[in-house]
Amino acid sequence: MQPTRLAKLTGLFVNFGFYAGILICFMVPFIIKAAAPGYEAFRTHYWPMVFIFMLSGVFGVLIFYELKKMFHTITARDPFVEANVISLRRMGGYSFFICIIMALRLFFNITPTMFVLILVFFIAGLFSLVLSQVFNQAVLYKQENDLTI
Amino acid sequence: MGIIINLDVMMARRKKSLTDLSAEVDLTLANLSILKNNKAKAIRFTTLDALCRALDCQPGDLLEYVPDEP
Repeated sequence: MQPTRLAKLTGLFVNFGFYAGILICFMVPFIIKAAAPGYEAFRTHYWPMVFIFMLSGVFGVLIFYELKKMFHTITARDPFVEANVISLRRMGGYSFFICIIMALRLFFNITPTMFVLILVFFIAGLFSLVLSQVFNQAVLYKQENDLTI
Repeated sequence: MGIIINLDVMMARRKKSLTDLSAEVDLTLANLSILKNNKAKAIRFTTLDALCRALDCQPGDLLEYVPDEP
């Protein structure tokens, strides 16, 4: 059975996010330098902002990397595997790290968007951890089913 | 120990190989091997029915309960 259009589109987004994320991570110092005239925080706290955004970007790329690995199992029609449980747990951890890193911005620049980002990544982290438990249970059911003759 | 499947015993008594049995009961060699090596977690009644028919035996001939050691 061929992958659906939605599955193909999802795969494209995941791959794009991964490679674009790597590129953007490297470009962060230049992007912040370019945006500095418009934002005082970028002018006065250039290196802390570069550090915060680059580190967040690295964890973001790691999230995309885990999604890429998971997507391969989905296209192979075997998603309920231990590896995906581990991937989801890692994604949860990375999301919480991004949440903490974003919170560091509180020391330099406080904006409403920052609180939204912290909340979004906190919820994403929780969601990933809960989903990892769901997948863990699914793996057990699948093993049970595979060993039912 | 729990439930033991004495498939190899019955196969030896009826002089049937795994390949012959696999063809008769429409189970793959891999699945039969899982049964034979007591790796299975559960067995369907339809499978048990097919095995008993192929080996001309009762379910009790294939399944044995061995209590766990204390």
